This record gives sequence, structure tokens and C-alpha cells, in this order.
Amino acid sequence: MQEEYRKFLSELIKKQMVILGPNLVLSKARKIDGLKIGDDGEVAAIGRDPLDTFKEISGYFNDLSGHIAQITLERLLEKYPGLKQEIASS
Amino acid sequence: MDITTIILAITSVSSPFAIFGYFLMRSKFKNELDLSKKREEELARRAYETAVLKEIGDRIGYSLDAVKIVEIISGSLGKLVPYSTVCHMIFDEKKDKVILACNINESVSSNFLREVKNKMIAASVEMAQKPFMEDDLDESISGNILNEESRDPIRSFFNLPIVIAQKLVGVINVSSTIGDLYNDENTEVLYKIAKLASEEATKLQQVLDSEKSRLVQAVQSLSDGLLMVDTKYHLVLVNKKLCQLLGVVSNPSLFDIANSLSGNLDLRSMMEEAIATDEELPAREITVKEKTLQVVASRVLDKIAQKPMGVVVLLHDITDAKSLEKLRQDFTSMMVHELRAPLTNIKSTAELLIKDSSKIKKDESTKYLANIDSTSLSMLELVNDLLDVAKMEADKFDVISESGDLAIVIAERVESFKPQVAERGLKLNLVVDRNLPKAYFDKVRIKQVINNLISNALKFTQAGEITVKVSQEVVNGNPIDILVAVSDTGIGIDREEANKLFSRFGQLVMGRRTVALKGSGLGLYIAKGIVEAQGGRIWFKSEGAGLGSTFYFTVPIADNELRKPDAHYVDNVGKMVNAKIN
Repeated sequence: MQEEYRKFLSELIKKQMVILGPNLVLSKARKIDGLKIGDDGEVAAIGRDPLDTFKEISGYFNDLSGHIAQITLERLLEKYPGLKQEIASS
Repeated sequence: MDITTIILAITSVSSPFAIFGYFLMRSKFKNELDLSKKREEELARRAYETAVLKEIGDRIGYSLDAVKIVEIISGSLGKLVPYSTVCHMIFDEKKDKVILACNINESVSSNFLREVKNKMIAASVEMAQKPFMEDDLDESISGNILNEESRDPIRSFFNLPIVIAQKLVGVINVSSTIGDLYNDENTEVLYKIAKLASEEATKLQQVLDSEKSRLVQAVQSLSDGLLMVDTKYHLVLVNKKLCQLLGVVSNPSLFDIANSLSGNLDLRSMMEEAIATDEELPAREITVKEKTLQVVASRVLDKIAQKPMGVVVLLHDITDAKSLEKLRQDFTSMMVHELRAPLTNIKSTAELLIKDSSKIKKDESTKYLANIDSTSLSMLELVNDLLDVAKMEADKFDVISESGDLAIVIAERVESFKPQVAERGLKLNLVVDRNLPKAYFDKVRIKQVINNLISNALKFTQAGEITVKVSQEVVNGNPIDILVAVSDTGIGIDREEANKLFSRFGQLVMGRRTVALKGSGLGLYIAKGIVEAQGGRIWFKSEGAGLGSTFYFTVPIADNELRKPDAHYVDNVGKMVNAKIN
């Protein structure tokens, strides 16, 4: 599950880097405790509970682009049904 | 040890502590100073952001214009962050266009701008999840001149999506040749501004959508066809009734509508004429798909700007009104003819009596006078019918109902037709139920109804019999009213003619069935008016042409009290009950 979260978060960050620009997205994401991200947006390590990390990062993106962030997230979660279920039930 | 030595000893020992204390205090003061400075800076930044936010909010106001919102935000950037270029992309769905406008703040190369464009396209594709058509792109550049010698690429950038009512309407891109220029702290305020503008515009959009929905519902429920175009003649609105009137598919194009008019109306010219004038244009009449339509085009004016916003075209179906008008004209002609013929007859007979009075014998002159009398009586009946109809239409037709014996009135009327029936070689039967309750009716007007039904039966029956039956109408064992039925073995009535029979111009629509039949043709219309005014119903049944017909009407029972058989009733009507009159 940790690896799935890593892939999912990497993809989410990369998409947001395209949408909002890398400088802003990386500066926001790198503030999250334990999260290690490369300049290309690839997540190297989550470092703590992945669900908490996800909630924190999606909250940031939501603040930045609201509806767009929500749509991007929903689309991406379709590729990760296991995570979608876990996130929905949390 | 003298005092000096002691002081020196203490001083030499405490000096390092004092110095250390001094530096400690200095560092503490410096930290506090830095913190205070930082707080001041933060406070100043917040105050500045608030001022900018307010300014932008005021300038955007209640605007739904995505271009205006994006331009205002782009224009405020210089006060918040440094940048080389600021570009905005607006998605204009109505025109299938994407507008890309770039403002150059610091000279950059066209490669730099190309890179900006590609980044904005990539962001749009990612957000909209649909391919980007570069052919739809309408580009413009403003600000500083391009410097093709510059080799500086984009070293930092950010995009600001603008969403209104959950729809992406534009993207702002801020780029710089300087690296690591933008972070979440210095761009935060811009995202706040974008969010604020988006929220305000979304709220306004929701209010407008709700108003628009109400307006659309009102337009859709109109009984007239309606379309609206803007000043560029793009179809803005079209209702269902218009599609129905012109026989076009739902959601038609302006071409479909113009095409359905089949050359009967130059819609484009009419709309152009309407938009060019502030005067009311005359309505035009056209015939499309066997319907007569009245077409009115009016300019729609923006009251604030005092500029035309478009044209509304209204199609009013006047087919029924037109045919009614024609019926009216035909009816008038018919009535004039009906009055003119007997008048001519009276005039020529009177002339004859005046001219040759000495030559005419007395019995001949009596015959001529009887002719004048009978002809003038027909005319009087015709005029009375017309007056009755006029009263009915003016809601001034009164019936004075009172309790009475309907059977006696009917029997008298039947008796009065005896000579005519005998002359035609027909049979006239009267069947009256015993123990009929008293009825509630207008004793004068009811005669008109009975006369009309019997005379119609006589007119349309060449052989056979006519039967008038008076009975109680009973529902669930309870008498509800008195039912009168006039049956004949005449020519009958076609089903197609059924609904026209009791109408004002019924006879006119159906055509005069025999040339010999005279009269206003208003008899059944008047009979219906009388019966209904008394609180009854009138209808007919016919198996079809040549199979005879039966006309029914009802009269309310007086006080719902069953009439007991008495001697008076039997004495007066008894002879006629169940009797056949030849």
C-alpha cells in the first residue's frame, strides 16, 4: 500500500506541476513533514502515515486551485481503486 | 591586599563574564529586533495584500466577464511579484476560440514566449482533459519589444487557473528568466485573489442561471413561437412553439428556421430592419404549412447602454382567427341575402297591390297580403334569432325560469306542428311518461327550443316519423332531471359534422344541405344557449348519414320534488300522451 501511495502521490504532484508550475508545487509539497520529492516531482519517500500525507497535500492543492484540484484528484483516483476506497472510508 | 588589588582581582575575573553577558544581551536584542522587523514586514505585506485584494475586488465588481477578471488580475501582478512576462489564455466557447494575450515586462525572446505558450497549453490539456486545437488560438503580444538575442529560458513560472461555476474559463501564466523566484509564500495572495474572484463570479453566475432558467421556462410555455438573435444574428433563444409552428426539429439552427419559411418571409432582412430602427415595425402575415402566422420583429435594447442587444421575432398563429373572420364575412353575406330575398318579395307584392289595385280582385289581394304577412314573419324570426345571438355574446341573454308542467308546453308545441306534419305526410308521435315531476324552465324560451328541434326534424325528414319523448332521467334510482328527446327518420348527421352542429356558424361550415332550407342557421346555437342557461344539457345521437337522428335536452326538476299524478294533468295532456298525431 505504501508503494501504491508513493506512485499515486508522485503522479498527483507531477500533474499539479504541469497545472500550476513546478516552483510553487514543490515549495508547497516539500513543506510536508517526511515527504521527500525530487525536482521532477517523483516521491522518494513518504516518511509517515501515507493517508495523512495525502490529506495534507490534497488540502494544499485544493487551496491553490479548488475545483481543478478536486477534478484532477478524482480522475487520478480512478486509476487507484484500492486507495480510492481507503480514502473514501477514512 | 589593598583595596585596589582586590578590585583589580575582581575585575579581571568578572571581565570575561561581562563581555559574554554583553554579547548575550546584544544577540538577544538583535534577535528581537529581527523578529520585530520580520513582524513589521509581514504586517506590511498583509496590509499591502489586503489593499490589492480590495482594489481588485472593487474593479472586478459583479462581473462575469472572464476576460475582465483575468485582465484585472494580470494587471495587478507587478505590485505583488517580479516577472518577465504575464500571459493569459481565455477559452471562448461561444466563438470556438482561445485568446492568448502576452504582456512582456522584461525583454525576452520569441522562444521564451513559445515556451510559455507550450506550458499554458500543457496545463489546459491537463485540466480540461481534451486535446488543444492550436488553429483556434488567437494570439497577441503587448508591452516591451522582443529581444531575439536573449538566450534566457524560463527559469521559474506559475499558472493561475480561473474557474467560474466549476468551469475553466482561463489561465494566467507568470514567467521569469530568474530561477526559483516563485514559491507558495509570495504567490499565495494571487491564488487568494483568483479564488475570491471565482467565488464571486460563481455566485453571480448561479443567480443569473436561476433567472435565465425561469425566463427560459416562461418563453417555452408561451403560446406564440419566439426566437431571439444577438446583434451578429446568432440564434440565442428559440422556443418549442416556434419549432411546432414551423415544423422544424428541436434546437434548430437559424438556417433551419429560415428554410422552413419556404421563401414566404425574408427573415434576415426583417431582423436587419428591426435592429436598424427604433420604431415599431408592422406585423406581417405569412402562410406556412397551412397555417396563417402573424410575424412581428422587435429590437431588444440594452436600457443602460442604450444599444441594441438583438432582435426578438414573434410568430402568432392566427389561422383560427382568420377562418373565424371569413366565417363572419360569409355569415353576414348569407344573412343579407336571407333578408334581401323576402324584402324584394314584399316590395314587389306591395308594388303590384299599389299599381294594379283596381284590377285585383279582393280574394287575390287577400292572398298577396297573406304572402306579405308570412314573408315578414320569416324576416322577423330571422332578426329575432340574430338579436338572441347578439344578446348571448354580450352575456345579456336572460332566461326567467319558474316551476311548471313541461309536458303541457311540449304537448302544445307538438299540436301546433300538426298541420305541417300532415301536409308532409309524416307521423308525429308524442310519448310522455306518467308521474313527471314539475320542471324549472323559462316558459317562453323553452318553446323556441322545442320549435327548433321539431322544425329541424321536419326539414330533414322526407318520409317516416318524428317522435317527441318526455321522460325522467334517473341516475342510481334518483330522478335528476327531465329528458326530452326528438327523434326522426331523416337524413341523419355525419360524425364529422357533429362538433359544428351547435356552433354559431355551424350551418355555414357544414354547407346548406338543401337549397330549399331557409333560416338563420342559428337555431341550434340559440337552443343550446337557452337549455344551458336553464341549467340543462343538449346533445344529439345519429348512427350516421341517412340513419335518422335524435336530439336530447334536459330540464332541471323543480325543487327536486316528484310530481304526483293529478286530475288537471290527465285532463289537459291525457289526450296527447301516447297518442300519435297524423
